[in-house]
Amino acid sequence: MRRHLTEDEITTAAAGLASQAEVDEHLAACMTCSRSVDEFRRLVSERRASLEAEMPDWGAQRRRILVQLGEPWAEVVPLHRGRWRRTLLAVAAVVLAAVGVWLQFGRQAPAPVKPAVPVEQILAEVDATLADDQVPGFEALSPMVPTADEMESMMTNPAS
Amino acid sequence: MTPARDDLPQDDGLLWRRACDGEETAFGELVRRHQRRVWLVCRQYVGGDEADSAAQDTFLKAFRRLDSFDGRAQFGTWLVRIAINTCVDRLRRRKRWGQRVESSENDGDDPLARMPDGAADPEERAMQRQAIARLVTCEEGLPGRQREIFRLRFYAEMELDEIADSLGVHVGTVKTQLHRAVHRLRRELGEIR
Repeated sequence: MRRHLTEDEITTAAAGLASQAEVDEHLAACMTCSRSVDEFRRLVSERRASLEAEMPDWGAQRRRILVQLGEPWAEVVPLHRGRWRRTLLAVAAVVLAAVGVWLQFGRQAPAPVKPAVPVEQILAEVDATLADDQVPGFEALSPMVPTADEMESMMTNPAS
Repeated sequence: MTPARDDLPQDDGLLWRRACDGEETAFGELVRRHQRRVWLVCRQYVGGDEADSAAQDTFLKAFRRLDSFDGRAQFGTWLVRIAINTCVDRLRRRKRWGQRVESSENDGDDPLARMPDGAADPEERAMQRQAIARLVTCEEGLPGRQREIFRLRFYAEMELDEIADSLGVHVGTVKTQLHRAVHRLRRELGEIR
């Protein structure tokens, strides 16, 4: 049997890479070489144990995943991600809503076309106003202004 | 009625098929089987603070892309690939937004503080902590690919061919990088004189 393994062979064994039968045989018999391999492996397994202590509650994690899959609208973004996207979407939604409201109610409706008032009606209104003695400003003129009846008789009988 | 776990097939491929048909229990079982490894992979890339949400993201992405799994690789390997891509995207985003891409070990919390108490003697425990801290520091000094392969092998407990499939490299490359990583770590830890 060889006295000791080379460092390269010990590394191969420590890395868990396939080694020659001769090397395995030596490791089984040589305390010094097997201690070198074990020392490294023990350190790595201690490190792995420290990682296992950090592991989350698997059941809770699984439930969270399934809940999110059951609610496709629940956007699955971590806390620090996608905030700007949601803000942008919210702003876009508000703008769209405002445009919709404006299209529905806010546009200036054309002024309604008033029906033409018959000339006779206007004249009748003017006559009524002129006949009203109470209309301010006409008091001084009233003796000179013939009434509607007087006007009619003048028109039918110009001689008088 | 949802099937009990015992009624579910052992084969991931069959479970995947049932999950594709919309059976939530089947997907839940796939999550149960692979979540530990997916979390460990995410832990190596993004650190303890983000590992949980990255793992969660991985499963949600996988669910949405279930029909893109072609069965050429194992389902677990396919998941690990998604996990790695998810983590790399997160690291890129951190970089893009000017955040420091911190080491996965340097995330503000002392991972060693949560270490299970394997050594009874306080002095022995302190030495154990120091040794682990030294290992972590030495790992950080490894070239990126070596560190990645070392951690996937020893902490995510992946087989060599799974690592090769997940990273899209040849198994021989994985072996070489792993050997170099272990050799360098042993030398820096003072095990090689």
